[in-house]
Amino acid sequence: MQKISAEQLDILNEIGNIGAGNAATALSQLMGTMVDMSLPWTKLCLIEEGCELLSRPEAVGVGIQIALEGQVSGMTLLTFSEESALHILEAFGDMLPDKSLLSEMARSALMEVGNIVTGSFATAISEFLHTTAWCTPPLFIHDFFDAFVCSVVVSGCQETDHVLVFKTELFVGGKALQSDLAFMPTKEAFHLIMRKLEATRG
Amino acid sequence: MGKKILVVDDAAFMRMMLSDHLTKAGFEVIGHAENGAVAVTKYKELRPDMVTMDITMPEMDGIQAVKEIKKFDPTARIVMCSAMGQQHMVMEAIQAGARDFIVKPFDVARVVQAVTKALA
Repeated sequence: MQKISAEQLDILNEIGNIGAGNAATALSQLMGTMVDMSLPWTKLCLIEEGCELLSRPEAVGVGIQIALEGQVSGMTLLTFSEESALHILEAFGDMLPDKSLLSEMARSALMEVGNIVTGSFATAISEFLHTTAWCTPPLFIHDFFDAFVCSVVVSGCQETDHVLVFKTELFVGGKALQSDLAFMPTKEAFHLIMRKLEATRG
Repeated sequence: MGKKILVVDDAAFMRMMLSDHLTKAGFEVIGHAENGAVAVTKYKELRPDMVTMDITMPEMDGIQAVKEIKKFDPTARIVMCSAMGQQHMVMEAIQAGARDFIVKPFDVARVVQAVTKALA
């Protein structure tokens, strides 16, 4: 396990805060309502702990899986509880007549939310590294957390065993919604991040 | 009659939103495409006045689709729809012949301005 100092974790947390701020602005514009986003914590951990942090036993959730390309490449997974996903769909109002998780349009709207959140965090990381990252088309998952979280995390960790977890809280229409974003970097991206963190050690 | 527009995006929700903005602004959305390959086929079939083109799509991406459409019709008017982190792709699309770009999530005024300018 690659150890990082409290100070380096602060830097990752700060990057996450920038991502959360940008995501909130873009989500407000997309949904036409005030959206805020906070970041209770960030953690760099190994696969097993990553699975535990993201999983919610016996609960059904929604996952948006997006591969990142560019120099900050890797796999990402954004998760919401089913209730949170439905609340987000409600916030779209008249824009979205059918708010069922089975509707193609509702799924597409949630994938766009995933694009925005993941893209905002990826941009914050890539700007910190002075390099590039962009999202590829998302995959929509609606299943028990136990059925998809670990398989996505493990398949994303082909090159390193490390997972960067951002614990986020979305505030939509006055309600706080739990959401997690996991980034499983490629070896190249992981080394880029670690080198930069080493270089910024005070 | 409003100018005819082909909306290309792999996300059904974004096609719906963009079509809604354009229709309300007086344009006529004559077709949708969910990837670059379908966009090229529909361009040839529908001959729109203008295309809004997403960048990241499965099958064929928006940049390749711009190149194919420009090969078929060098006068084609295309506005790119980009997401965060895609500045370098926007540049490549502009070099391939796209006229302008709009950034997601869409701001209605900016969409109308870019499309109007590209049609001028």
